[in-house]
Amino acid sequence: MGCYFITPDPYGMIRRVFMKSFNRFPAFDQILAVYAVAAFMLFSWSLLWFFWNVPSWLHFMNLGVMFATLSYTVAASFLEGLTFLVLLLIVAFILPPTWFRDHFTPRGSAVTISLLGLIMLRDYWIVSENYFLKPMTTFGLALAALMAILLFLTVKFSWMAKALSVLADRLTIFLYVFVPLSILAILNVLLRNLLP
Amino acid sequence: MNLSRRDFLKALGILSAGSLAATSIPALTRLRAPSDRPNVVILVLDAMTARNLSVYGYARQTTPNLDRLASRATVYHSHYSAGNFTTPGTASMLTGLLPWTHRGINLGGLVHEQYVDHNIFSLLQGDYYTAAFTQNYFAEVLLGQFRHGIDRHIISSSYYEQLDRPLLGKYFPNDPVPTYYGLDDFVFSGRSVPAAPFFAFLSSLFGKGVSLEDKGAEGYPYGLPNNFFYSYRNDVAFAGIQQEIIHLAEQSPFLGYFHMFSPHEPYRPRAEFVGKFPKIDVPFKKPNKFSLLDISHESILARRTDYDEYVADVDSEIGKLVDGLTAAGVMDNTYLIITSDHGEMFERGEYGHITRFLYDAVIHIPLMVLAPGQTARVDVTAPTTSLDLLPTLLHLAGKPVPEGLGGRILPEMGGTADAERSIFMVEAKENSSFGPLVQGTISLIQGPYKLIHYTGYPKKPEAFELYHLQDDPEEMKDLFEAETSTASLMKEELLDSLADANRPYLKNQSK
Repeated sequence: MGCYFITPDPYGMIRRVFMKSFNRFPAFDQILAVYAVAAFMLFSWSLLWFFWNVPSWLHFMNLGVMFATLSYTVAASFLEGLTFLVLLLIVAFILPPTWFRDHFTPRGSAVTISLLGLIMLRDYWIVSENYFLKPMTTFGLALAALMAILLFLTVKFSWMAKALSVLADRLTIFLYVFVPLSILAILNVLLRNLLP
Repeated sequence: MNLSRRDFLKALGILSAGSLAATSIPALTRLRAPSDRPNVVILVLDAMTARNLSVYGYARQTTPNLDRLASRATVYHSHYSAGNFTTPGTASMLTGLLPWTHRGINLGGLVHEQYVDHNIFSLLQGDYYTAAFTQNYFAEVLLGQFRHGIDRHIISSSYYEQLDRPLLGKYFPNDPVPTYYGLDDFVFSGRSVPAAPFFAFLSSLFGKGVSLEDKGAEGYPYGLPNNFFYSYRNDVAFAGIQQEIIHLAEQSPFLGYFHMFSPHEPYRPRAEFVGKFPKIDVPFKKPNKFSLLDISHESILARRTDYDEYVADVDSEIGKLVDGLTAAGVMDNTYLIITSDHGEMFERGEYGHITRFLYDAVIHIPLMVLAPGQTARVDVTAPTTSLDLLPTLLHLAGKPVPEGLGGRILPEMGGTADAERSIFMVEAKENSSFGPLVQGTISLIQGPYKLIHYTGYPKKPEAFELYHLQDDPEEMKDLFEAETSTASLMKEELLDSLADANRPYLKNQSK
């Protein structure tokens, strides 16, 4: 009869905890698809308003300053998209997997579209002197209603979940533009600030 | 040639010492020996028109402290800003050039590259320790352009009470201009749609993103003063710059530029100044050919009263500042220059200064110089311009005044009074800064006369107006058709000067 020693294995334990935690996150392709939705909305929004400003900036900005301004804008949009994604991942980590993680692409896209869409609408309305969504309570109620409707539709109708998944999947193509653009923008920002 | 180890080490030592000395030279030149050169403090009160100050004869007692300080100052009665809003007004004051030359003519615009090093800071740096602070972000962009000449740039949000949005520009000191346009005024914009909506939303949720104007503030019935980026208290801001100036005095000689936002709108005086003034009788119904707005007289009168109360509030802070500097002994060797970047108007269906007009209210600004040891009041009535500040400071610093400046050394500061000199003002915010000036308003003051020329405005005719400022200070009676010889001579000079200013741009176009 052999003699067995139980050797302590802290690394294995950490690895198991890490793997267990890691498994609470959605799969990479699902994360990418939801990031694509957020990035598409955020980049489109910032580039739209950037080019809306260009005619007035052309009055006094040379191209160098204009491109630098664009770099800051693009870098901010990139970081903004990542921040938004991190918040969604935290939600996925916290909620029971069957609620959010297992349906991350359709439900994450629904949350992204409703939250970012409503924030954008609110900003646009405020500038247009329509203050309906300005109070946080009104905004919160409108957001809850919109999100509930979209999530309900994705849960109730599989075609809706599929449509959102297909949309998110299609939008990943834009990451081939946004990500390199963001890397260039961040490099430009770093160079402008690190070089004397 | 054989080089021994000992020789090699010697050569290395000499090279190291040489390179160390070479890198230390700029630092050594910056260590100024004790000097008898005077310090200079320029205090700019944004949008303070001379027309509403009792020190210049306004019916309401808006400036009792300036009245008091004037008893030991040189007071310039016909001082004009070269522009009617912050960008051209400030750029002209700091570069000594007219707006049609430096080209800072648009809202939030920039000075052209070739004039970036042609400013008060760069021209005095080395002989003077230079420091600058502004609460006005249009001026902050210009200070960003001039940063190489500024030894100490005090960030704009130094004395804020509550931010309206995150201000990130301060984290990018090497790249201030694009960070202003890209981040502070765009990504987190509070005036237009923010380009980063989620960040802006988070900032409004978790940051101090709600201006106190919505909640009111104790002692401020209309809310705290606000510069569209943050709220502040004038007493705190003025006390802050007082401490800053006292510290700067340790670096004597120093040049300090302090550009306060008040009394720029929104007009938010403290409670003790509200309701301070009785009704006033001023002529509102003036000719109005080119106004963009049409606001009721009652509304304009209310605005004027708010403004006057705010001016009185700011005046009390100026008084405390100067008293504090005097008590600290700073004024013993310091020229204090009190002025503005442009005026403010309450007439012709408009208020404020975002206007096409160049009537006196929006360009006639205060200029008071408190010189070290001055005990009596001196009044200068000859016309002067904000362009005169730069040559005057160079003269006071004992430095040569470069050729080609539009200004002159101020009378009583080493220059001579010239009642007949020509003074130009330029308003061209709708014109490209890269092309000839084809749309805008240009004004020429010569002796008692003022000629105003409107050109290139869509659906508006080319027009000239002529006023006699001594007989008609309110600019009510257009003499252009009546005094043809004066009008013709001034028109010729104005158009010739405009053609000269446009020549480089027309050459570029013809290439």
